Amino acid sequence: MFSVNTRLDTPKRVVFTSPFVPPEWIAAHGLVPWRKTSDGCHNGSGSSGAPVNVEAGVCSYMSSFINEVTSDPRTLAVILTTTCDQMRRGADLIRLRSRVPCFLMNIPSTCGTPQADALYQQELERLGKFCLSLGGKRAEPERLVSILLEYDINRRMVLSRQKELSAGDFARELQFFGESGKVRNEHDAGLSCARPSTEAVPVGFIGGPMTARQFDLFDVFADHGAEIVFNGTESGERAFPSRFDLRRITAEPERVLTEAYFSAIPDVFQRPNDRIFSWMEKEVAERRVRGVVFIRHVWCDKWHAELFRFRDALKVPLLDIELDGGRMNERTRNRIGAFMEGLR
Amino acid sequence: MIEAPLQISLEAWDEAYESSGAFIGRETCYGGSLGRHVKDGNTRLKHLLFDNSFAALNLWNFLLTEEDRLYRARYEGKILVGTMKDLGTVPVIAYAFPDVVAFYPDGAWWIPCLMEADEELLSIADNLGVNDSFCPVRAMLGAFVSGEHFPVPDILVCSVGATCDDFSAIAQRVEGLGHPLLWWEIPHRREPGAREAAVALPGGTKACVDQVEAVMVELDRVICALSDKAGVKLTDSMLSESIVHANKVRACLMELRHVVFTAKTAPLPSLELLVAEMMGLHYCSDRREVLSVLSGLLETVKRRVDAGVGFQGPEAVKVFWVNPVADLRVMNMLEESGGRICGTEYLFTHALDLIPTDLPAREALARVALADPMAGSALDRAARICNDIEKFKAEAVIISRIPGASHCALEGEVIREVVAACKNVPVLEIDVPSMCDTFQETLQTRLGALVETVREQRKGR
Repeated sequence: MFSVNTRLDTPKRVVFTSPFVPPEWIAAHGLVPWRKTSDGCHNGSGSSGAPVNVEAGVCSYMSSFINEVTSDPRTLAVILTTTCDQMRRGADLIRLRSRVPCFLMNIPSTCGTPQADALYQQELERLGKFCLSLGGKRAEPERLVSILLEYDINRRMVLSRQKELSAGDFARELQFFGESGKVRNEHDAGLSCARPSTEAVPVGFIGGPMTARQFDLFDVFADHGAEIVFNGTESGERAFPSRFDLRRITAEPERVLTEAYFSAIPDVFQRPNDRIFSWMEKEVAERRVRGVVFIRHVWCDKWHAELFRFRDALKVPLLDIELDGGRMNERTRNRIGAFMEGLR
Repeated sequence: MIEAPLQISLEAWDEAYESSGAFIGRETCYGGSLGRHVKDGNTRLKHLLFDNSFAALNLWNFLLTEEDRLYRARYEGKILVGTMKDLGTVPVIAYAFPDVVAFYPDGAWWIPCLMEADEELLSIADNLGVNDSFCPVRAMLGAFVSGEHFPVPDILVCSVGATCDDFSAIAQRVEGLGHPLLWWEIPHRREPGAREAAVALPGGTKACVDQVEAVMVELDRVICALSDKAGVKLTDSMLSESIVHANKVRACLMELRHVVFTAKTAPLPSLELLVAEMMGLHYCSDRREVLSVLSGLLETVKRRVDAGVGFQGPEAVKVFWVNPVADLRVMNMLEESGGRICGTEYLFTHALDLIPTDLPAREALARVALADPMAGSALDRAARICNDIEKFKAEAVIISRIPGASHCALEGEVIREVVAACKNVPVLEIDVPSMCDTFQETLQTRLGALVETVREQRKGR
């Protein structure tokens, strides 16, 4: 079996953050995929040394992400997607201000049409060519199958840990998997396996991406007696692909990847975006959730506009948390406390 | 009216209208005094300055009576198509059908300006959770709920993909209110690869053949839906005829822009030119009449140029304007500050460029759709702006940002940086909300400073 190359001494990574970019495809082309969760330490006009410094009026997640990846010498190339204005225009800024090769992957907003599937598949082909231009090699079927299997197994393994870990640690575990395609053993990870008490209140998260710093939010909720039973943010399991149809992988790899990623991951940018509502309603019902936390970034119109509909669709209370890239403030802590008090 | 071109107030216009008698026999069915539109709630007109020509009066009256035309079309049993976001492509398809009228509900974004922050529309949007962190197009959501500013269309068609997030988000909310939308994909236009088959698009950009074909498939879905609704099969010749008509409008606008931008003294104020350009999008719901309105304006402008008259002296500073303004009053402020318009990019250049007629009609429209400046990179926009700065000899650039619009801050930065690097002209970025009254003085000072800067630069040459 081929191994996914993730050693730190392999200096160059193909970095992305969108869940719609399949790391298997990059790895099959002989490069190191790195699904990066932004650290959240490098955003906005405060980062004067940043290569792609942008002024106010932009999403802090995007700003932080593109500054981190373009200033990291281990970045071979960056892949952004067209799922939002901010990332799409972020690609312009990288091209204008940085020498890091940037691939802007067009992710169709319409879904469920043959044309949308075809567009996504074309983008995979183009991504393959981009990998070749970076010094990668052709994705041989045997290699691809092997990598898909390895990812699939590791993905199931990491997901199975949800019940063992605190929500914050689970998020960090997903982050590690995104970066490496691997699952840490518990000893290496130094993860806390402390489970909430049986009286904990089941709470779900839904929304856009979270920076690594913002994973602290999970701990704050836990401190207030919450058990985070699903993470429907872009950094959580909601953004995982479905299982691959390995019977067809050799004959039509792009199609299989399209089905697992593009056709399966529900997201708010999709038009119409019923799928994400169905996903959330199912999770809330199955896991008997008593409250939902809605995570969005300032300047993220697509999540912001749907807040009202999510609130309307849910039969449980919803807490809206708007993130601006800074550290969590006292007001947010108080709101979380009040929200949890109301749920108990 | 062969008078010296002037910018006059609404009051002065109404007095001239009542007293001159010059309009008798020239009036259209939508004609009349401008003041009557204030009674319909368009109170912003009281604070604007207007070109004093009959052609400009006609232009304004045509613009401000669109709602009446839409209700009349409904009464006459015509199909109303609400075409959203694509700005200029779907209307060419819709008007190819008999008894179909297309309009942009998007146009509601000017209602808060024209009605001076109509509390009702915006408060409806607020109550639906779409607050002022979104661009003024949120007024469209309010308009769908109130049902007071346009009739609810029989079918809604919305482009999505490489469009702006505000609009996509708000259109999704419109659908959530029970108005089904036909979403069609406009992919992000990318630079064709070295070995990829590529084609030229109107306006000078390129696209790869795969993307053009993808858009053709999407437009086919639109054509099918409209055919079903209209009960008529669309033939190639019907579509070609519609393209020919669209090109007449576009050619008229192209000439108008060229004459205005290159005249020694400005023959038309920036505000009227903005209104005229907008009419290329969907003909203000009457594709026959729009040609008459725009031809009249062009004729007036040419007459002024021939007579050597204009609004300001040749010392007026030539300004290139990027992005449409949410408050129309700001266009007046350009002339008040000593500037004149010499180039525009209001995010719909693809609705002004001629549609190719040497291609199959569907392919030609797919190329137009892909030429949308918003579908491509902001670097493409910047390149076209640089070309036009050169072509029209603009001396300064104003980038007006739309408050709340998620794309503006980033695009503005890219455009400013490219223009500054390629052209030796000052660039000013301003925020223009629906109502600028509270900081009009600041804005005027900034525009004035830009004009002064250019004048100082002229001395140095």
